[in-house]
Amino acid sequence: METNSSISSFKRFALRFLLPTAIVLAGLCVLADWLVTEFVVFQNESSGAYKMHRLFDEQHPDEIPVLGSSRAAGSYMPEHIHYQCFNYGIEKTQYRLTSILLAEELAKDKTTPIIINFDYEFFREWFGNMAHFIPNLDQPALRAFAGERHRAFYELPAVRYYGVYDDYYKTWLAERTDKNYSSRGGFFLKAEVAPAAFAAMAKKRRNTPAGWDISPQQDSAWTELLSSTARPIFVVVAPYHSSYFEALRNLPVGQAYLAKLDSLPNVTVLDFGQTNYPDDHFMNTTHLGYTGAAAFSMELGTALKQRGY
Amino acid sequence: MLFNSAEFLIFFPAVCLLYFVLPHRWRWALLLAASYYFYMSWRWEYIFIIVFSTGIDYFCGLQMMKQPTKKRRKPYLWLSLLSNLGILFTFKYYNFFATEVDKLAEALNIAYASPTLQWLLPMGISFYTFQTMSYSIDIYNDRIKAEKHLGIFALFVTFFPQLVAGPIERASNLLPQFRKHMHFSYENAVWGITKITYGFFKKVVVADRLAVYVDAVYSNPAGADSGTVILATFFFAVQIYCDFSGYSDIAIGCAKILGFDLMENFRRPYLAKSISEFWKRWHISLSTWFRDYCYIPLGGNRVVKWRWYYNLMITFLVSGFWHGAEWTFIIWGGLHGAYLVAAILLEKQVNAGARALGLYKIPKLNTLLNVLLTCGLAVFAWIFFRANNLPDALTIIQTALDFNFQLSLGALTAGTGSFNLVISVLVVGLLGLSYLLPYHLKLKYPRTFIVVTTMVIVLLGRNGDEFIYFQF
Repeated sequence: METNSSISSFKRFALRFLLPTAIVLAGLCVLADWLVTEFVVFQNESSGAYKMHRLFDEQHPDEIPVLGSSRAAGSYMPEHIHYQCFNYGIEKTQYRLTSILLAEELAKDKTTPIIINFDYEFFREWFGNMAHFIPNLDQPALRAFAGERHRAFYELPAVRYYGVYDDYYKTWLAERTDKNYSSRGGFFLKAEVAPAAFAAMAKKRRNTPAGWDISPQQDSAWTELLSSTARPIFVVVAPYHSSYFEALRNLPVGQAYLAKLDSLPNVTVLDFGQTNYPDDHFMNTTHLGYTGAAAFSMELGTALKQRGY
Repeated sequence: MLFNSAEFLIFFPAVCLLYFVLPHRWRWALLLAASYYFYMSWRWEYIFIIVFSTGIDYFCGLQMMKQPTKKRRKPYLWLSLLSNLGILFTFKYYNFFATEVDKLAEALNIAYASPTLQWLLPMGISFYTFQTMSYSIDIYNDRIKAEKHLGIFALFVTFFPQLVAGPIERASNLLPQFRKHMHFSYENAVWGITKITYGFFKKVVVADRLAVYVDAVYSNPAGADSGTVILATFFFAVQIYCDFSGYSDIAIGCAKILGFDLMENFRRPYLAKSISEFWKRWHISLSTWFRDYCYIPLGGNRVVKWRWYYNLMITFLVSGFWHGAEWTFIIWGGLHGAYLVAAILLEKQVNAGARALGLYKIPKLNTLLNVLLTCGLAVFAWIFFRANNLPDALTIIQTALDFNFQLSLGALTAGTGSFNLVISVLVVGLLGLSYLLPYHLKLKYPRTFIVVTTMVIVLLGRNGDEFIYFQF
């Protein structure tokens, strides 16, 4: 009798409460997911999520892509470089992810050149923000890259963005204020850093030793990938603040590597790394600000024109 | 295992299902196994501490039952108390005292360095040791009989919904429930899920959001202006309330689904009209524990006045120390003790002042002022609770009192961005809106509440840190 009442109570709970609630929630999640993905995530040209979606799911046959990290995202103004340029720079994108994006780009039937921003941390193992990957986990290469960071709930509509909605909302808002400038994937902060604050950053940078490093496996794989195409590849070093090089212990080794890349038949290295920009051109010691990005992009554009692009 | 984890979302329904399927005589074993698994999923080796505490208190309880007089029970009571307090001292307070001894030695020019322990603080240690001590004390005082069933007693010590952060249950409430044959109840399940959902809202939408701003300010108080530190402190008052009461709600909701009633731990404390009332609404299980096992045995208020004030101060200083082995927690507790003493000393003057201002003729205004004053006092004390150390706490207070308001967005957002600040204010507003709901959460349309709140959790929730009270 008591067991029967428990069973009937549970049946009532499951059929009259749990199931209808779950159905309504599922429906709302599907709706919310579609709304957020279509009207927020994929409306943010400067977000990593949109860039990955664009690279993997869209075709732009005449486009010249710029691949790289946040230094790419914030230093390359596409309209000053080439009228067909698009900035695919995503924070914390280094060798492994760049290889995936480059491989996807090379699989397309295109002949346009490719610009790859080169950092002296290029061969570090960084992952970045999961928010860039979540809407694109249907791509096997990106899913594999996510590896053990992939969670089962990333398959659930709306729930998959749990904890990272902020990132999409903030980018959406940031692109729509006049405090920033965004253009074809590039995102540039207009605010200038106060001289005293920048001086403190530079001092901290000088006291933060760094070094160029590469493993033979990375060297081999990267060279093979670059050589696998006839498309021209420009490996570009965007400007660093001078304090960065004071802390970089083996710059000649890094530059020797760049020279080696330059010797590849389809690769041209354009090293603007030590361009002596004033402090007000920088956002910090490794990233240009709006003014610096404009100046650098025009120089890069001129360099491409001189090479027939 | 955290409540806000995917593992718990699988663990809890599985335990519920097995619980109601199993015959009643085996349910205690399932819950015990589940509770041990719950705890061991954090660090398996620390289960031995709980098992040790369980064994000692089980033994002492049975032995005390055999003794006819309190005098003969006393050695077992001491064994129980010393064992539990010994565990607590070793893991939680030893390093604090070792550091203070070193400082004293240094001040006296004595070359001495105390050895320190590099052990992790076992999760929930402050809660389950207090829970078992209350069991032993209640047996000693003839309030309850000892539990003879070791398994059920072990379950009382480790019942997973309330193991790591309370509510600190009394044996008289919880033990008899483990012997009841619980049936699955539609009403319990609906109310339990409602309570759990509300708890998650408080934790992941409100507390974890506000933590972003609070952490930014309190990690660098010297870099903030008056407006920022005041806002951060206010946010922390809301954060800690939502974090802790959220956990309690989830614990109570989970227990209710299984058929168990845990005590309510929070009753909208920031609506209290006095500090005395605040402590009847905040962390009720702990405040009643200290009332029954510290304040009243000291004599409570049935003593001469100076002794009464002394009892209050001691109780709250110890309560502060319970929260953490830092001077800031002791000061926080001491402040609340001082508030209560001041309220007693100034009662006549305050009443006379209120009468003179005609406040008694406007009861709502009188109530509002009392609530605001109580909130202000509580929020001020939170500065010490949250600050990383005493100098930081004093910096926060100094900055707040400087009245140096930098009217810039950068200062006000404390580097966390205007978006985060706006959402922080929004979620505090949502919390306020939730106060329009019946306090007991017995809703006319629970399904609507659960659906709406779940969507708010999905869209605004954050992946935050552990619950604050886990560190106690």
